[in-house]
Amino acid sequence: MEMKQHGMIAGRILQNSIGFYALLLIFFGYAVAQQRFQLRLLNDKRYRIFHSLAFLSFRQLCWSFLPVWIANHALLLLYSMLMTYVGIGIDSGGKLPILWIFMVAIFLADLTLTYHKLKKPFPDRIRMRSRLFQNLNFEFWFLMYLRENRTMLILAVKLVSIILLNGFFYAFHSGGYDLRWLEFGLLCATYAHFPIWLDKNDFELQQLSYFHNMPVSYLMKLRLHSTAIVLILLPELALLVYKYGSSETLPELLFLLILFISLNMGIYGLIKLRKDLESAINSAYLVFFLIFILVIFGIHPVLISSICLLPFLIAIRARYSI
Amino acid sequence: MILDGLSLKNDGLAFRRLVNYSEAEPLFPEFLSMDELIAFVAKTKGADNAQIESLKETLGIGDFSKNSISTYSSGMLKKTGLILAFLGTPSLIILDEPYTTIDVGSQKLLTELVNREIKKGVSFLLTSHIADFEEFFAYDSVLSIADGKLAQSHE
Repeated sequence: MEMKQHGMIAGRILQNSIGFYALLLIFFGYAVAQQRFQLRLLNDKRYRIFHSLAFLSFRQLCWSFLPVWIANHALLLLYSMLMTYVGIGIDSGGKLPILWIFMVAIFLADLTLTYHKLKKPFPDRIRMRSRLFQNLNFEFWFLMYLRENRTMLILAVKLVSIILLNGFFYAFHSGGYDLRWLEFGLLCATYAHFPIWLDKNDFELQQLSYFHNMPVSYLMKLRLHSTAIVLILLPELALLVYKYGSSETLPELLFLLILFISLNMGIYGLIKLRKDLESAINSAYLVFFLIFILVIFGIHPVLISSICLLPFLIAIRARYSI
Repeated sequence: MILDGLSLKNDGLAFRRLVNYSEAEPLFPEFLSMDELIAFVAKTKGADNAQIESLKETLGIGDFSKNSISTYSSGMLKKTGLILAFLGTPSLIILDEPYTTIDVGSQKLLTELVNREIKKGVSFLLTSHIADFEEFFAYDSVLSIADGKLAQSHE
């Protein structure tokens, strides 16, 4: 999007009360998420040294934390500045002062909460599992790892993937495109997940290194990895069913679902098979164009899926890997 | 490599079921609890609940097993690695620096556990830097390593 379009959107938001307050709500949600993340970080063993901030007065803490707060909320501040620039020239109905009072209030609330939290002793973190899921099975380990350590990554990937797929479906439903357009959309959405599969490989190589020699049968490995991958892809699979699910299109929907899962499994298998990141990325470029050609030439999705599954099936067969 | 008539090359899974090990500095995902790690390893090694509870009692684990690894001290982390090494019915258990970072009481418990398993016919390969390690067990052989090479064999 160009600057001009951003300006237009900002102007529309300022002129619409519902839009403006919805934006403030989004800002508030972001600030809450940021605050929670920061407090968790403070409780981490590696960062407990920062408990010494408790010795500062509130004023000193505000000054010390101001650059940190500005850096963490840069996105919000930049957008607020854009809205101010746009709002000066139009009749925003007094929303600009409300916006900046809101930002200052967030800053003060954030620092006040941090100040009071620092004063108290931090409890030892004890993970409480829900009654339904007392123990986390292996299939959920990577998902939990993403939630705990790579929250922004999983959110960003899901956002990009869903928006991308939505765009492809919008174009498809407008007419003039056949199933190959959707297949190409699924290919693009798969590549949006590339960082996730890179992380999965890294997680298994490093944090699960103890389990590399576990006597896990091939079928069990197949089940464990497939379940983990399908769990991560659930939002996109649900979107596919929602956008394309009807009794007439059921066979095609099934092919698309299988294709999407196979593409992701294939990318993951490719990353697992390659020794280093650079060769994984180079192979991924090549594979993208190969699959693109297969899609363009109308090769059946089931055949493409079978080809994509090969690297996955070979990769998980490796003896000393989980 | 052959163990109990099983070849590592031809009977990989069965072979690996017979060999357990404990690392000197265990590394596990921090969000998992000891119970969750035990559940997965027990499933692959064929350990039952009775064995799990017995090992927990022997090593003095208590309720800590429900907490996440991120809350563990170095001693608890080492005990996590040790308990995983005794699961199932291994023929060979490799313990890398088993006595570091655990307290004296736990060291005695570990010695008793190792002796118990030796009587059942399990073989052990232990490494250690501690001074009087040679007195802990009646070893079949004791080797010293220096600069990555076998320096001395004590009979």
